[in-house]
Amino acid sequence: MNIFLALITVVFLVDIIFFAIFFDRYAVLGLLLLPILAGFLYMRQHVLKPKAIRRSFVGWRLPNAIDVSIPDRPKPAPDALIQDCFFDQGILVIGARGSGKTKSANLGILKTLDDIWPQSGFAQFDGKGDLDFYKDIVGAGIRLDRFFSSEMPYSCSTNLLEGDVHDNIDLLANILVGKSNNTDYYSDAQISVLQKVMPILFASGEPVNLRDLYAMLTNDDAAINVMRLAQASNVDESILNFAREYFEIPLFNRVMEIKGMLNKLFTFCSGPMADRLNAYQPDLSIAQAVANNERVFFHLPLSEFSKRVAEAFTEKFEVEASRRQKKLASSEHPFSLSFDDWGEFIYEGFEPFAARCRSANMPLMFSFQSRAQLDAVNPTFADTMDDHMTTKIVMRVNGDYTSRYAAQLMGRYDSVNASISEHSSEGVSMGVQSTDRFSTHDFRDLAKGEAFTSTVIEDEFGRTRNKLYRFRFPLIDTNVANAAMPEPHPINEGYGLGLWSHCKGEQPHHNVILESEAV
Amino acid sequence: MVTWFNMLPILISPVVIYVLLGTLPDMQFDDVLIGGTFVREWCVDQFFLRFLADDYAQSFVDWYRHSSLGNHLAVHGLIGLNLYVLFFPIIYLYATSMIRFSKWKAKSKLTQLNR
Repeated sequence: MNIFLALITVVFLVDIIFFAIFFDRYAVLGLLLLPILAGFLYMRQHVLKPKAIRRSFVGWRLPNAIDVSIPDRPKPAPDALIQDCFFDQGILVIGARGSGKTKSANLGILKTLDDIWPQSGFAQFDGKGDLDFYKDIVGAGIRLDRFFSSEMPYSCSTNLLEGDVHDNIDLLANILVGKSNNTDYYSDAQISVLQKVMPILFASGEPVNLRDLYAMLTNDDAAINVMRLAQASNVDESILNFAREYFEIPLFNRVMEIKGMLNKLFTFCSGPMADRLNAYQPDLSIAQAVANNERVFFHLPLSEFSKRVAEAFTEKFEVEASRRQKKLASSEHPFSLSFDDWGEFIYEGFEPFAARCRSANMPLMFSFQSRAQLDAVNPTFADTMDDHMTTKIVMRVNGDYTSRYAAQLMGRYDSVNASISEHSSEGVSMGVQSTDRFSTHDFRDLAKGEAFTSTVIEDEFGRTRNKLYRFRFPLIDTNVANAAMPEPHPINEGYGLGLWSHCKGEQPHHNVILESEAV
Repeated sequence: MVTWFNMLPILISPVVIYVLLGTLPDMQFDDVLIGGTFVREWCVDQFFLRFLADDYAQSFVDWYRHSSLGNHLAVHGLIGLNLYVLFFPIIYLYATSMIRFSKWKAKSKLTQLNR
């Protein structure tokens, strides 16, 4: 079309010159053709072209990036960025230990979240247990509101049993019963017990915790007290009957039937580290944190206890995702969940959790060391991540298996080869070969902080394109010297049902049971 | 596979043939005059003079009669260019369809080979 326009223009100009020489009047007519031509050109530029719907983009700038979408023809990409409009579709980071996954990628993600969604909250889960990351975040000027640690004395306290009774039944069914380690009979029996006793435990409206639940399930006095309180609270008779029917079973039989669940529950009840999970008036409420867009750092150095705690918190966030889905909670602002080095903490129910978060405006950011960590969840989880995460970042990896997965994440491309033979009768032969964009060695040779990324970008006309870049993360300015840890403070159980203290014969804090007995 | 480079001769051949016909040497067979002059004058008559008002046509004919061969060729070239612009969309469509057809043929062949 451009060639045609150029040709017409040249011929018109020559015509005009010719007419100007011989016939002055026709030359004026010839000149009239010029505005027509100009009008046509204007239409082509401004009317026929699609209109730009967006001219500027924000997001995570990737400095010194090279566009490697076509690996044979890399080209500089000074404007490369991971756009804000695709941040809510998740980011997957794969990188070996020491590749810069935490300090380059994760810190960069949090810094970008701070820039693009300043009003939004997030939860950063750290599975390494390295407190430097917390200091880096604070030192980088990123607001953090709460710090929870499974080990450190300056942790916030929380109550895993806060909130709606039915949400908590689901939560406990997931973290205490699970699916794979039990037969259907025992699983169903344990869930049935939870459904019978939990409404009674929550009936008084007083704060309860997991210790109260444990006490109620293992001690007849505690059960009687709870039933008495529920009756006083005018609970529906059918609910009382179900609970009464259960508590009429001899204690030994009751305990034996739910022994597996009680063993898991005990982990959340026993010891000083469990104190921070059972505060009646906690510093950290997951529901409040999500609703108020707070920013929470979860410090969970790998241990059996922290794995259980991590699972419980994950399920708490699933409850909040569910509430956002059902419009019981506002999902106006995104609430990101960033999991650093989370491979060891992923459990069987993680996939439905991830699916629910994605549709509840709770973007997920994962970082893993290896493909094997993904396979540990289930054999299809790695492919699920590949499908669901819009942006994939691959840093240096070590193993061949993970390198091949990295190559899969970066996709394949078709290279066309044409060869000409002077002797053949046909003359030209063509072939198309589909190969991995990058070889496994490309990922092993990456320097610290260097990465490949596959992301989707939207151009000014609203069209989306899959782009691949190779780049090096910029060093984020962190003032670690001024980044102090929270002040240590004692964990206060607070005011609530107090069954655990009562059963242990301790002098409890103010609690409902003692007051009801006094009455 | 056909490319735009392959189609270049087809794209420029109409104008080349037209110009060449106008530059043929004049020859006489019996009483019939054939050659460039005849072609040029026929083209001026058919594609130019018939669109002009009589007085302008007359003045142009006077000028043409007394002008040099170079001027005749220039007028011939100019008429040729204008005709080319008129017919260019048809040539362009022909070239595009040829390229698409050869592309389709190559793809079909590759698909057959892959099977």
